[in-house]
Amino acid sequence: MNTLLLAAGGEEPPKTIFTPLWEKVKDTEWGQWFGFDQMDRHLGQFWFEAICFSMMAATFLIIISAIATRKYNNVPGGVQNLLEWAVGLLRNLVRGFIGEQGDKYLPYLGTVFLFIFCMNIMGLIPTFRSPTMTLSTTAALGVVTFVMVQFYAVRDTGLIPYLKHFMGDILWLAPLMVVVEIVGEFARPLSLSLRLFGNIFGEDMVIENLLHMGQGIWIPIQIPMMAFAIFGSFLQAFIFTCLASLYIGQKVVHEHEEGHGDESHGH
Amino acid sequence: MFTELLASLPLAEAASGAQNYLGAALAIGLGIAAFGGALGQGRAVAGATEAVSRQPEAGGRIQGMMIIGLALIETLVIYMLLICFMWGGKL
Repeated sequence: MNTLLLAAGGEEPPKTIFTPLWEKVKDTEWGQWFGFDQMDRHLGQFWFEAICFSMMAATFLIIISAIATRKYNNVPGGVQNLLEWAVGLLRNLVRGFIGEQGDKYLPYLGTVFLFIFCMNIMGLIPTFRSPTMTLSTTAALGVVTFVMVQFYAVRDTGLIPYLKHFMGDILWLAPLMVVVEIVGEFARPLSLSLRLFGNIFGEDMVIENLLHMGQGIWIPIQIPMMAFAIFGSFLQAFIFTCLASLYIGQKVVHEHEEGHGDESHGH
Repeated sequence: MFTELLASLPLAEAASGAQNYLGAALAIGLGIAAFGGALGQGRAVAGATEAVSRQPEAGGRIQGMMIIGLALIETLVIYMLLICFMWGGKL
């Protein structure tokens, strides 16, 4: 990361609106306890700004939801209509993977999609930075998804079927299958977080390098890449939600022997 | 004599002593990862377009599956890119 930042023409990563706040915090006692003063590869600044920007994204989503649900019109208009359309799309998506019981998991999966999409898009605004550009944020999302999948599996199917799932289909291969299934189970949050981190970090670094190559705002060659980054941000949030709902669906729809292969994805 | 000639070339300064070929390894590795990723994604898109041409009504479902498949294949290329980011500073 250091060579890319040096090649981009500066020792410092670009300043965001929270950089003055970070410079005040990093030398205080609790700043050092959290680790914000780590100057190796500018990690302290990235971590602090990731926390601030993710809290800003969460506040933005809460405010939008509060505005939309103040009075429930039967014929929605404005912000409520927009959010109802988004919730309808997400419900179709989740139902495509889990089936009719997908409505129980829609709160968590829908929130994950909107939150990740907001955080990814934030990197395109001039003095902001995506919190998902740091491995810390995406690893946190991966760990939370992992915990939620296990929690939903235990709550909705019971502890014994959940443990029996680890033994696989063929009973006499159970010792081998347990190891394979547990390793696979831990590989899922790892791949989710690395995928999101790599894609968004790569996009933002390319935009920053193009910005420096075009001498700032004189030759705007970063504009086509920013248009692609909007699509890429949406795609990464979509993939994260699809895979999380797939993992929940694999664990929860065992006892219902319906023909889930025939269900449409609802696109 | 040949090794003396090789050692006199300026490029030997980067690869002398401990024979550090990290830069070449990262570049070749990323090239192989991108090559394999492109092949896999090409096959995925080819299969998807052929399936849509056989049955245009299923176009929406097939497009959804194609997008998910492409993102999963691309993840493996991203893993190699992350290694280049992590170790590129040690060059």
